Amino acid sequence: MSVCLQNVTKTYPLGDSEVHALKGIDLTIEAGEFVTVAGPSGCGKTTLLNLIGCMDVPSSGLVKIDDRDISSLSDRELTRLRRENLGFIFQSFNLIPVLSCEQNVEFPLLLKGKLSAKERMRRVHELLEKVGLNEQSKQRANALSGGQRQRVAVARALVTHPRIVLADEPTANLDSENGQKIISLMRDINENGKTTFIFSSHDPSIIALARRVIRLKDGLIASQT
Amino acid sequence: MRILSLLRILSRLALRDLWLRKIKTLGMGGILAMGTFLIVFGLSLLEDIEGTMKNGIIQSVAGHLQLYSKNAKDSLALFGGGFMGREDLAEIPDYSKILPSLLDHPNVAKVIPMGFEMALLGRGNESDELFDSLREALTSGDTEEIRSREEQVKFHLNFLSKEFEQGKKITADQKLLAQQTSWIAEAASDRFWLDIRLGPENKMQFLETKIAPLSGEKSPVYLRYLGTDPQLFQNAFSKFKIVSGEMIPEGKRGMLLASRFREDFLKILPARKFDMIYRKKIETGLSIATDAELKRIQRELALQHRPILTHLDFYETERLRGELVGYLEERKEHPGGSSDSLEDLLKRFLVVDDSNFLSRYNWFYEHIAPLVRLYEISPGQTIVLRSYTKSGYVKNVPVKVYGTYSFEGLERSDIAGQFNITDLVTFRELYGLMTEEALQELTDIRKTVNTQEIAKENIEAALFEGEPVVSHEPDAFSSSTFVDPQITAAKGLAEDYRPEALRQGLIINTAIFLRDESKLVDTQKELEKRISDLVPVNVIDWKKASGIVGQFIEIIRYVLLFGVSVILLVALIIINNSMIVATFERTQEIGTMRAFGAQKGFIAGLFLIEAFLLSLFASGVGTLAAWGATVWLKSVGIPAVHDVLVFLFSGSRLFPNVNETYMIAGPLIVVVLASISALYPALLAASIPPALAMQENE
Repeated sequence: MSVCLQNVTKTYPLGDSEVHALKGIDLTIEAGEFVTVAGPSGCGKTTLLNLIGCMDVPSSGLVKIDDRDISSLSDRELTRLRRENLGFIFQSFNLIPVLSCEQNVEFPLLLKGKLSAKERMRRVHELLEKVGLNEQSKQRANALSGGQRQRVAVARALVTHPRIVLADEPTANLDSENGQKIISLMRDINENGKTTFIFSSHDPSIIALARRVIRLKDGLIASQT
Repeated sequence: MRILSLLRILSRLALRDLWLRKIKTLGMGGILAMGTFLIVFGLSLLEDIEGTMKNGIIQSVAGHLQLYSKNAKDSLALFGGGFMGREDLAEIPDYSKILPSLLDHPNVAKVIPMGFEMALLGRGNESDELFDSLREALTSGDTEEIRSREEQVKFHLNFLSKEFEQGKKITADQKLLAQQTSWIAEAASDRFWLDIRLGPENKMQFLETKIAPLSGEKSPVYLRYLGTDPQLFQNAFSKFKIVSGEMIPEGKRGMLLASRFREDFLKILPARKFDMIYRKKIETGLSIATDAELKRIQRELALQHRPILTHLDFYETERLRGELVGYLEERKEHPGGSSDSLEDLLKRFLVVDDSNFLSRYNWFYEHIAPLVRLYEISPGQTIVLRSYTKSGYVKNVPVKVYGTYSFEGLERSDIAGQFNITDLVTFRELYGLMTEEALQELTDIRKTVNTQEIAKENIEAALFEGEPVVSHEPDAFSSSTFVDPQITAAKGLAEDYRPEALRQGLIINTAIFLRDESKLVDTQKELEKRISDLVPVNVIDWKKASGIVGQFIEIIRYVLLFGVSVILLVALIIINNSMIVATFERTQEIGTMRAFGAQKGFIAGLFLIEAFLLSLFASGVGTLAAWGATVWLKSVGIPAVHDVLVFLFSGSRLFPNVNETYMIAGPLIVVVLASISALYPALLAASIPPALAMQENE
């Protein structure tokens, strides 16, 4: 699944004035890439990920996911698109505290439907095994450490077999060791499968682990490798 | 399967949120549970009360509908309008004009003519009763009986003497007091009692004219009577039952005293006080030690030795004294010597408390009640009713009491127990209706005594110009307790009447029984229209006809519904508010769910399920509590602690039933309302964009 942005701008109202978060982005990300969006705070990283993640629509320009312009889709269609094709990892993990690790990971599968309970559990445990948390599967998410929570978040993002995983500052709330581990885990999954990973970071040691780096500055692409 | 899994996850999330906000959940749940309890328990109870009350009212005196003249200044209120005094109701001059039209209606089953009024019942005084008995004994010549009555009268004179001794301290007219004291002394002398056996009439007149007035009159009793067709009444009202004596025979003038009225006003005072305490303490379960009213009655009972003593003759006094000494000694309550007088013993006996009451009560009815005249009036006696007629003059009408009656289930109700039933003919006499015969009689009398019509403006001249021609000194002598001197004026009234008299002539109102109660409202309108073509009338239903007491249930219902509405409104505002706050607190969580593909409906469902589960659980608890309370009360009964409640409960206790309709409707209402109140927060939550999942980063 490829992502294509053409002259994308995004403007937010701020009181009487406007904030130009993105000022004209042209970008293509091919399927299976392991990309990081780097840049200082406020450069537009999250806005870019929101647009790619179909959680927002551009003020102007085109955002195409597999050649489909997301601006033309309804909220319902965008939701379906996210559910079927995208996975998310958040800076604060965003796990549902009352649910166990297992239930947190199962949650996107429940929304997606189609699978039997047995199949759902098989997939859940396969991923928990992969992130090394099978033994903690019955534990409540809020009983885990930060690193463990983010690993559960990774499992949750991958459980539906999404074609793109978007991660917004996935290591920002972790120590460097755990941060490294998470990125390595993501990279392993990327290398062993066809999932595209797009994550944002401003940590040079994390950025160094990406195969492709897109640097943003003041809402524009400053450089990309 | 997926829907079930989704519901499971939604429920889990909803329960989680409720759990996380335990205090709020408990508060909201508590209010919802209370609201449900009030709906289920309160409305079930009201329905039970309404059922018993409705049956009580319809089957005692009201019927399904009541008809009365539109010219009435007040509304018809069978059980009282809430204000003292009598209602000003106009009459329907000729019942025969409306009866065929009423009976002609296909839904009318029975029509019972009626009329309500008040009269005064003269009661004489204690001396009169004693002297009547003495006169009877003297007439019979039974020496034993005369001796017994002599002791009784002397006992009474002794009391009077003591009273007058006390009176010396406060009276201004010492001369009169001295004269009256000397009369008492004369009546108590041996010489007097020797003479009375030789020439009774002279001495009896002395007792009746000089001594009797010293006791003072008993306060007169207002007697509310219902004139009707007694046979028709008995057949129509299923709650009517004869308690003692017999039914008024067909075609005979007579009266049935309400058993309750007789108990309340015509029973000897100590017995009445014992009964009052019994009702409150034994039947209602109140305690003398803690209930203020019971304490008051207890104090009053302690002073009631005299009415007992005046009823006893010499031999009875001695016998009762012996028995009472035995009773009190057995209970170690007789510290005095055997020389204690019966008066002292009775004073001690009549002091009751929670521990000795039942024993004293039983002993009173076993040993004392048979010795005294328990009721002033008993079946077979003729009483004289004095009424203030509509035309303004006073009329005395003698009427024979055939028996006493009560309404089944309402025996203890003072409200329902105040109708003394008489025939319509007697009613019309007391009402002051001038029959053709009476008018003819009046014309004849005028002719005989040569009266002349005087115009208003000439009254003064006719009265004061010239010497008075008649001087009349009223005769104070009266030989009967209940027969007033003016009785002679009414003595000409026949004991019998023609049955047709009940179907024609003056009435005030009618009770109407319907064949099909479900058509009550339509029939009410139709009858009002149909009869108003002949005579202007109001036709009202049983509830309105019952007066303020019947409508009391409506007042309770409105208060309850208002209370429930306020409670539910508060609960709904709290739910709404708390969910709106939760929406803002859970923005990131909702955004995350949306990011993973949860549609807006899922998010809204999450909030609605939360409100649904909370209200379901809370209303379940409320319903369960209401069910438990009802089942418990059904086994023990709710005591009717007030007369109004006796009337509403149609008995001294209400045994409420579990009402399945309210058990389903109550929680349903609460769940639906709670879900509605969660609708806005649910929509608000659904509108949260998925991008807010990442909000903290920018």
